Amino acid sequence: MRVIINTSTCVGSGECASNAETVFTQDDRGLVVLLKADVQGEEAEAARMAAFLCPSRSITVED
Amino acid sequence: MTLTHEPSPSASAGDLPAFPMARECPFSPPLAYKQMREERPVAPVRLWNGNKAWLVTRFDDVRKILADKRVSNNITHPGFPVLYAARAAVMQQHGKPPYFHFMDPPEHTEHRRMFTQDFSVIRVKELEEEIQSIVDEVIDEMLADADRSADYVKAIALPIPTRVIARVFGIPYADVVKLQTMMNATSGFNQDPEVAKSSYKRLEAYVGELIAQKEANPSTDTISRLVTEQLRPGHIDRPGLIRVLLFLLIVGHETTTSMIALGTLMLLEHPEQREKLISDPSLTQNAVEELLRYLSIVHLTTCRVAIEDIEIGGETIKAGEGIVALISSANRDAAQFPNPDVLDIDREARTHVAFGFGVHQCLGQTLARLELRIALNAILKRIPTLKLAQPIDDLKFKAYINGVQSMNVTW
Repeated sequence: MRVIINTSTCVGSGECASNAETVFTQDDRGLVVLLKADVQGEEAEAARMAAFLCPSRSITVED
Repeated sequence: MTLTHEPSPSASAGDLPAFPMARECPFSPPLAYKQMREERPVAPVRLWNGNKAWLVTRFDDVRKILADKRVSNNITHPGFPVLYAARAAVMQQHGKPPYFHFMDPPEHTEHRRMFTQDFSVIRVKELEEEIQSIVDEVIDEMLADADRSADYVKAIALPIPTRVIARVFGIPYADVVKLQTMMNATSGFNQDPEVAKSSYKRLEAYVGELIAQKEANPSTDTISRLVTEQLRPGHIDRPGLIRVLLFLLIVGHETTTSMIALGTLMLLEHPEQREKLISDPSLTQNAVEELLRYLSIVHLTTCRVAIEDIEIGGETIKAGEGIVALISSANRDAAQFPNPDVLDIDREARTHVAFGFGVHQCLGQTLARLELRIALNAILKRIPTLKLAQPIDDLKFKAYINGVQSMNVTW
């Protein structure tokens, strides 16, 4: 599964970094940083959850 | 109320049911929400000022509307549903959004980002040990009482988040306590608008002083940074900085106070859930999510105004009409949470919208979650005999942000 982020709309809720910490982190302003664009298995599930929870819809996942 | 009633276009808002609605049980949203979710999931109501607004009650619709670019959070928009007179007086007095929460993108994004670094997952994690010591200290102080009795709100629920937010912003604890006392006169459904406005002015003056002190003695704290990086270069003006700091200081402790008090009360009232949590503390994180879902304390704060016509739930919300996205209803939607009225710390509750949704979702949620996890863990472990020392029916609750005013306990 492929993960795509849009940093221009990120509002720094931290939902991604707290739910999929091996896939996402935050920069020194608290905005989303993608650690891994291609994820499988448990990481894919966590990234899917992060995309669902992201309040600004800044995360997209593609199978 | 009659949910099947369809107002004709000429019908005045006077024919509609009044909102906010009274709760039958202080821990659950009004039963009418359930009926609305089933029968008319987007339903019109009448506000205190006679304006009409639309309630959105289903989980999917609440998320949809709060993430929709066709809604505005500008509280000074004439159609914005402000839920009581004193709130309108305070929040609309400048003729423009008082701080980022009531702005729309791109202005909102720019202003919110002045603070995102202070609440990031990494930054909050760095506070873990300090929060643990604050929690331990506060519990020690309560346990020192010779009579083994206390007002739990005053002794535990309020001081924990207050000390934490004072630490986050680098201001003396005594100053936040002072602000708390002063802010009691700024809100509430029955508060006189003029009294609210003058109280708010005093609060602003007080925060203005705090900023001036930081300017005179800059340090590495958040307010000093905001002065250097935002105020001096003109990204935010002084009244704007005062208002946003006041907002963050207030929401930074009021909500967490409510959650600690009501969360503890829920565990006392559900002894089987409490036992389960005591025997397996690894459930704490999930228990926090479930308590957030179940209680949904900021049940009236997610208001918006449509800036274009929006079709949702079989209705058309016209541009200029107010919307209340009921997160407390969304969090009790059986389509998302089976047996939604049952408190179950084992359930998958993480998708709740207790912190709102969309770009205005709570900035301090990571901090709130950590405080709640540490606090509940420590309370259960260190005060195993904690119990309510007054009949539950005698407790007095707060209306706008759900909470308990005081709560006598013993141990």
